[in-house]
Amino acid sequence: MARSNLIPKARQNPLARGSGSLRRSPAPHLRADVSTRSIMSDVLIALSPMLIVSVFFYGFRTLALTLTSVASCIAFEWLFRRAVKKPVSVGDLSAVVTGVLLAYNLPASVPYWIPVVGAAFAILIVKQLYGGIGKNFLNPALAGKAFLLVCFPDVMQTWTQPFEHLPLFGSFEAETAANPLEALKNGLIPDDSALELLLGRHAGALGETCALLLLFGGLYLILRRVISARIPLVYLGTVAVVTLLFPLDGARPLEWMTSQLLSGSLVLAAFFMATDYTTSPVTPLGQTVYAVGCGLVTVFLRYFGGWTESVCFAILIMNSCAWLVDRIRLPQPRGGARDGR
Amino acid sequence: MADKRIDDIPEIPEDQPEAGSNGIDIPVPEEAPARGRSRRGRKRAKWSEADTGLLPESGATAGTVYTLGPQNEFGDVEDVSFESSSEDADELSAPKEGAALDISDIPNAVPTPDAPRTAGKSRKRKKRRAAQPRTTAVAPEKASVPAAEDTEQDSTPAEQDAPAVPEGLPADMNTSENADNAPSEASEVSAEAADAAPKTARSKRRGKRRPAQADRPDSGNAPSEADSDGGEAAASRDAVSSPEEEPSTPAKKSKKKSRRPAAQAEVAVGDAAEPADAPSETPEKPPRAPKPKAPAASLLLRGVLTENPLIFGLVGVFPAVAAAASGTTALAAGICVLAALIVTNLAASLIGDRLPRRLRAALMLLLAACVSSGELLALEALLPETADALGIFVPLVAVCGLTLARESFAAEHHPVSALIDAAACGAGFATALTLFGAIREVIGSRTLFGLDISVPGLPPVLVFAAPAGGLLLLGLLSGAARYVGTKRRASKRGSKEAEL
Repeated sequence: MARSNLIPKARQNPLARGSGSLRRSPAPHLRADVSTRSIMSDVLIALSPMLIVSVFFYGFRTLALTLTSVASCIAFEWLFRRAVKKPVSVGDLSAVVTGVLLAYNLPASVPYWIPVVGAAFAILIVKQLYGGIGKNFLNPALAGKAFLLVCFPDVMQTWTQPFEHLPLFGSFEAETAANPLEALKNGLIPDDSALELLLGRHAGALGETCALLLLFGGLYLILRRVISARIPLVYLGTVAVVTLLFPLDGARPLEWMTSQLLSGSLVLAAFFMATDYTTSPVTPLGQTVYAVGCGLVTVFLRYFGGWTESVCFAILIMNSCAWLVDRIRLPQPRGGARDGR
Repeated sequence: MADKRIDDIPEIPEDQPEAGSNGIDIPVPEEAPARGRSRRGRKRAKWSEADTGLLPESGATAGTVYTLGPQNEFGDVEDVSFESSSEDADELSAPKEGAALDISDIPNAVPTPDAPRTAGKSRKRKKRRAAQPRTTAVAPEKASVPAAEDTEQDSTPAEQDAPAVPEGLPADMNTSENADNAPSEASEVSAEAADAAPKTARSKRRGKRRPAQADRPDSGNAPSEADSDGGEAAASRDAVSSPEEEPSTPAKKSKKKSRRPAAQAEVAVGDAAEPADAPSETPEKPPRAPKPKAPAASLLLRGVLTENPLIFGLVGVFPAVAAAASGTTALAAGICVLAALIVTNLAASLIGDRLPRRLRAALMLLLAACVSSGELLALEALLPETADALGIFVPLVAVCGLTLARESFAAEHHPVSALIDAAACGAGFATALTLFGAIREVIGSRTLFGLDISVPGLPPVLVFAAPAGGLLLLGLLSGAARYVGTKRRASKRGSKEAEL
């Protein structure tokens, strides 16, 4: 959690007004201006530049898709909480973040019902059926994406070229483009240069292309101490090391590594989804193991899996192992002399 | 067994010499060492008996001594040795069987671990009972019997016999069956109490056992089955035949016994009411025979609907998840399971107690494997396409959980009711499976039993044609069905309460 502001907040307790008075209050006595809402707001701030870029790339359809996704997430969350007569938790903005992340994982050309279905699965089944925020064992946005990918593989794997603006409504014929991952799958270096990959000028989901902005967003979150740098860095580092060591079909290792790192939703997922508090381990060692596992599974599935994009499956697999990973502890000797003898 | 004993314990006054724990007929003086309620206390008492040289056999003038092993399956120490006649033997064995039967009726019951649940329930029950005021509902007939609290027991034998009747009752009144039976039994008991003290002593012991037995119906997980099998039959039989079941407090029985040689009193006819017979007395099938007729309807209802093995029991998930991707394959898989279930259930009922439980289960698996091999051959000959679609899952029917889930029920029931149960559960399973497969087919591939029902613009949700989607859908449907079930049960209960 964010530790940005640990200064005790002056409380507006009528009994405790005045500078010199003593106050009685239950612990914790150090209070910070951190809440779920503030954390989620930070995440939204970190994600927002990407939305602008996606509008720049694909037109206002991406904005509409994102809004649809967010609205459905909020609606499903509100409806479910009302239906089961539990406090409505829409105000913590977690559903908004789920909606934005889900939309960022969709191609810009998907029909509008796709984010609605994805949001229903993510919010109702993955999040709320397990008890709501903080109790889900999978990242809702990723699970929603995986569900859509498995259910509607055709729609979910049709990519369009950036700068070909899509109409807001109605059917359209858009020129499909090859996702760099497809080339990587075949052991080829994609046509897009590393710079293009970094800036996002390549085919991909609407919110995952511009790696540079996502890196900036992740940096913002790390500086705000919303997330720790451990998981994303170890995750990306593992992918980098493994792809550098084992390029497919004798591709040039460095080029291979940068293409692997910058294509697909790896950067987005590493900073914004693998770091989900609920579904990632708590202990530092556990987080490291979890991130290494994410990286290894990602590369493994990219090399040998059936899907072009495997980041979401890798993180979901590690999500479901998080409880186990958290139990890993290095043995600590107890007793004995201080110098260890 | 354990539950019965636990039921007794709270009623045992501290000063009772060697209360029900081992029900041994020993002429212990009234001022014998106090008997504690705890197990330790009981053990101590036993030790004291041994100390005085009054071994169980010494007091048991009639009948054999039945000793249940030092530790029963619940982990309770069972230092129970009952002397006396065959009815007692029934009694001894019956509760144990009853406990097993109680749970075996639940569709997804696992053979072994059923007992602890009952034990736990009985423990709860005991608490509830202990909390009840003793003097509450005394049946009118009992008014004739002098009412005294068990604290006064030690005075005279006659007095002690008498109070036992009303006391035992209120505790048991919470079950409807007991309430019904109470009058007749009570009157009989009072009559008996006058003439034969030994009888009463015995009756007390029985009485203590009885309440738990009678409780079973409402403690059982499924109301419908509770009255269908053991409970109802047992209750009715009690009312007719066994005068003594109800009344006694457990505490007194031993005392009384101690006063009377148990040899003479051969009262209990009604003990046959116990639903199952002792393993040692397998020839006692006749009492079961009348059972199947009555519960047939409820067996059907619960197998098909209220306790559908697939929806409520979540038994046989693998055919649902892996094999039932379409209505046709689901139907075929369901019929395969149904056939295997009928054969194994019938066999289990016929074999009954002749084989130990685990061996019987293994034998059932073997039998199911035989049936499924035949099914595979038949399917390949008749419906090659379906056989291809089902693939490995036809042979796997052999290890479908449903056969094992119903096996323990079948083993304790008459072949006819076992057959009905197999047919009901199998048909319920097959129906649910077919519906489930059809739903999956419609959602996952936009066909229904092979007919194309695709809607333009509405692509199939492919995941539901895959096992993952099957698991997801099964969870959702089962959850929804359970929700509806609990709602209905709650509303039914509410209306019943309103009537009262």
